[in-house]
Amino acid sequence: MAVSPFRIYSAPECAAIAAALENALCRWSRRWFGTGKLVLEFDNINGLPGVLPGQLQAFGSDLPHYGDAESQWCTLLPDAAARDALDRSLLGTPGGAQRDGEEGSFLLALQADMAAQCLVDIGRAFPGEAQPRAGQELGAAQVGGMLRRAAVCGSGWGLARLRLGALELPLLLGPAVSAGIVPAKPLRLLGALDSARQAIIRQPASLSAALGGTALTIGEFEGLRVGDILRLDQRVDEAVSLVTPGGEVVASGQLGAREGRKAVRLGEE
Amino acid sequence: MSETKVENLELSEFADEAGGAVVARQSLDVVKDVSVQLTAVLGKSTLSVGEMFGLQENSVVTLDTLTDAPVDLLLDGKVVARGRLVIVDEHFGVQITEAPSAD
Repeated sequence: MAVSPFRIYSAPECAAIAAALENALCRWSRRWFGTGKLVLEFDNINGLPGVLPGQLQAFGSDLPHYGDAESQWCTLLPDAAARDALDRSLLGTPGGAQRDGEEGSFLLALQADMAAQCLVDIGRAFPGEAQPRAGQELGAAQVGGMLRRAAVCGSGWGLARLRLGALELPLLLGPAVSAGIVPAKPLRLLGALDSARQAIIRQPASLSAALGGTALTIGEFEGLRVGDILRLDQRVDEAVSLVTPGGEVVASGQLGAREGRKAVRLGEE
Repeated sequence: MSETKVENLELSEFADEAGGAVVARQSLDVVKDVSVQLTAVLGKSTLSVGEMFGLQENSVVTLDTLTDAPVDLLLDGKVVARGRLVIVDEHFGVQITEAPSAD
């Protein structure tokens, strides 16, 4: 499957990408570094499975270069459009990923021990932040406590925000990780969307019933006197439009009356 | 390379001077042939966004104007004249009852 940053992946596709990465990369990194931990830099995710051995670079020394100025976090999603696409596929809403700082950066953690090791290494790379000690084992509760916001989609994939002092990073979690550590809050998210929807539905909408007008010159307009008759462009058998204050036509229909007031019966003609 | 003489352009500062004759005629005469679009509005209806989305064919939207109320003629969103809705040669028409005020 070709991987493009500009499309939204379904849950099964996410799982397939994950499986491909896990199979290819875990074996690869175990062989080279003796760990299942992966910190990867992708220049371009297009055609990802095909370019794995050559293009991906592992920061394989004992102190990985997590997110300093020179090296990116593993760049899974290179721009805002792609990030929003991922947010939508995972959270059902855009804007879940971070907006500031580390543009287009994601940590991809496919296994629980990998996520924990990432956190340990992050703690080492940012020594002032009082994060986990090197080598410290992180339980699910501790990792969960570091996740400021998280949600899990139907496939079990999770997207979380990791807070390190002033720094916030989006953390993409494989199913094995999210099952253990992600505080699942999809219901709260849906609740917020639902109440936003309710609020919108209650908003008043003012519609004007408009007839097509007529064009005349300013001279003719100035000369208008009481009793003059202006013929409008609209024929009597043409529909009357209901327009929003912004001028958008939302419906049209036939002019008539109801209970002594003008009224419009909506229809096709 | 050709010898082109280049000098700096300097703009001299204007001093305030007493006003003279008006240069532009402040009269609508200069724009009397400009065409404008008048729109006739029959009335308004205020409903909720939810009700708006629920509109269907044959739904009747009642307006806030009585059947014999005058129609507003709008120029750029502002009411500039009013009139009685009539039929002229199979077209809608407006017979002016309140003419544009000179302002």
